[in-house]
Amino acid sequence: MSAPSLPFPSKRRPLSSLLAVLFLGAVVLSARVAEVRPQALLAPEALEHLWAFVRGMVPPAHSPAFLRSLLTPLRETVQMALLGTLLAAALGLPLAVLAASTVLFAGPLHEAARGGPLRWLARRLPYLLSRLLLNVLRAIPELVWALLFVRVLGLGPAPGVLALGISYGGMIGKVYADLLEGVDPGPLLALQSTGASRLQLVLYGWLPQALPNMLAYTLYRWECALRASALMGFVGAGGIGQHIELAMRMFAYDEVASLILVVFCLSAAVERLGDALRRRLL
Amino acid sequence: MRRHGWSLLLGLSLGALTVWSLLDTGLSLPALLGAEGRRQMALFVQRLFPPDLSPALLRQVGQRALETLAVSFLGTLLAVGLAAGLLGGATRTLVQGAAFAEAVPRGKLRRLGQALAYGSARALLTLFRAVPELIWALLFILVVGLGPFAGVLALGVHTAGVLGRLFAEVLENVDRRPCEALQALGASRLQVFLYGMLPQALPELLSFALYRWEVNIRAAAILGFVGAGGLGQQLFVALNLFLHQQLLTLIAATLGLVILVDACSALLRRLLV
Amino acid sequence: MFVLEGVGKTFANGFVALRDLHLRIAPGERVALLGPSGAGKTTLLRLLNATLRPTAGRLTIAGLDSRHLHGKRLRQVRRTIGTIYQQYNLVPRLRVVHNVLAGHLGRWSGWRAALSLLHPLQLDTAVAALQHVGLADRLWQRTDQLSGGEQQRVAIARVLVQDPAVILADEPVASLDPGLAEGIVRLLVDLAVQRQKTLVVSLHHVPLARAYFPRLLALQQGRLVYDGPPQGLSAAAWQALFAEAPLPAAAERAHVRPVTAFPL
Repeated sequence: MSAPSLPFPSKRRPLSSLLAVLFLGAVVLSARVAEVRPQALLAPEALEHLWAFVRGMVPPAHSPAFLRSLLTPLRETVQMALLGTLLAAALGLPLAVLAASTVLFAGPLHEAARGGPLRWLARRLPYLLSRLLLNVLRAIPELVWALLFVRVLGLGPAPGVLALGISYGGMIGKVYADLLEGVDPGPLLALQSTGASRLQLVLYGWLPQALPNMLAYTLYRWECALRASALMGFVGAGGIGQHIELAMRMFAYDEVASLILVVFCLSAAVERLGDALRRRLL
Repeated sequence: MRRHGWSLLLGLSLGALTVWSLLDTGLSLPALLGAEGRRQMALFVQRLFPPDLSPALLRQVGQRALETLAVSFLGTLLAVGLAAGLLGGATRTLVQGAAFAEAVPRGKLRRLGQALAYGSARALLTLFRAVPELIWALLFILVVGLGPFAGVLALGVHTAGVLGRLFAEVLENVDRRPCEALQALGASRLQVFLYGMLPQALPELLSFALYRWEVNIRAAAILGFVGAGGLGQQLFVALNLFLHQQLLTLIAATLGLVILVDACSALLRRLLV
Repeated sequence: MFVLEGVGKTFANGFVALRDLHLRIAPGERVALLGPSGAGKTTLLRLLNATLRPTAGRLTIAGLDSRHLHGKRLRQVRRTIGTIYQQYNLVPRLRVVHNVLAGHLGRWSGWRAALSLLHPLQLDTAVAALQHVGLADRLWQRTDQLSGGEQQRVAIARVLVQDPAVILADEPVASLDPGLAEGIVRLLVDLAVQRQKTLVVSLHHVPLARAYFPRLLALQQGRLVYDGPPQGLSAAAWQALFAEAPLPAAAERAHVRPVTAFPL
């Protein structure tokens, strides 16, 4: 009997133990840096604060005057999300077309393409620049953009719309570009052979094929935008967030409760609506 | 034809909503991009330069960046833990023990109990994710005080809501046949989960967790706006004290951090998934 | 071992898979189950291993009425019945060793099972079982790297580790090369003879069944149409049995994984 009863003769063994050690190290280090102290959750005064908060929340504020005062911020929130998403799509789409490698230089459509180093560069430069721009736009969180725009444009929903448009434009642009790159090249080749121009190829070949997925993703971004615009008020960009912060600072926990309830309903409703619309699309 | 009607209706209502929003918010792009708007922006950008690169600030920024990274990492980890804890209730196939074969007719009470467990776990996940992390942060600051720990808790709870739902969906969609085979040889619910469902779902679960880490580094960078530590706190202060030259450094640090985490996540995804 | 009295099975969607089956299978018997696809072979085997319950009649497994099996008792009964499937039903991403050791799950506690995933327990049993099926060198490989025939042998190794009193096999060779089929069937029969196990195998390959099994059962549209020795029916009669146009396969079998659209 030559039983191969050796323990795990795996090639990945060194890698996985290295990763495990790194992971544990990262946990310990992070816990120190982030000042994690779980006992703080159970300290008597923490519980006291929590209890005061919970007690203060019941019953939620529901006076007619208060509820009426919610209408404007709620409207602003919805409008901000809508305009922000539209702006993002408008910004993302042209950048995406430039950032899709198959549109400009890669893939079966460009096999016949010739030209000197200048043409070569002219094809790749827009691609690289728009990818870079998209990366920068989406790497900076929307609330940071909002903070900056509030400083320039003043308070109100306008900076919120711009912030959403720019950061989500980056995300939408990247995803659109990836979707365009994933399009089936067959119909494109057929179109190309009829003598269609690059722009016509984009309009009649790429976009129609990628459209359902693009719309689905835009819808998802709109859901995110609604949640984000509910927070824009924290930096002064209008919407319901402003009221939450204010109520929190004034220890008006009953108002906080109502406001959180509103945000909860809004975001749960949007999730449902998004799911339903997406099912219709895909 | 019917489909066409729907799209038309949707398109028209979208257009109407847009016009209403534009009029109502008084937002006009021409005004923003007109001479005055452009002047304002140029002025602001001018004031950002040159960025403050003094060693004292850089040290501080480095520390804050590390804090942000730690908050995003631990927050995601906490979320995975919380989500895993709720999975037993939130995954339909796990709640109903015999779902891999055939619902075993049991007492009404038992079935009521299962429905209750499933419903409450799903409701809890919805509550977690429907309340944004910034609001969770306000709440946890109240409990554990200002600082990054409140940020970890806030990210953990909100993300648990998102990941819990995704995890449950992945687990419900694994290939059932191996699970049925395990059940048929006498494995318990926990064992079917460990040997049948988890190994099949693991790559997707990991991939979702990594994706949320990328989202959370951005979130961790703004939690400081309400006092939950990290780069956001300093950003907020710098802006309010008109320290514009620090602002550029801080934004660059945020940018660098986010790109770093995106790259790490992509690397881990390649290694593990 | 198994006693069926008027057993029928109707699925929730109204599909009648089996009707009025009277049958008795004694311990140590070797039985082949024949019939065109859609005849109810898979459903019958899933009844026998207590995955499904009959909707009519009475099924007793080792003297226990299957309707009254719940929880722990049910697990104990299932532990004594090993099943081999057409599609192997192994966990593809798991190493061979864990798939084989999964045979112990009916005996192991939850934490023992979890521990074994990190550090395989009772490794010698897995090694012995794999040696028996001639795959000892594949112990540490990932299961999805193996060929179909090898995976089916891993599934047999899992049953060896499980060490049940009954082995059920549902079309164990239908997904394999014809050349490999006989080897797998012989492996199962030898196993049953050596260790005195009851063996019920569904096949659609008549010559194999006639060569290796002393008792044949034939199903057609959910009814038992023959029960007896291979000599009882002529080759032509078998031909006629399968000539009937096959019904669409039972709807409960397929499970398609949906594409995750946009979580991001």
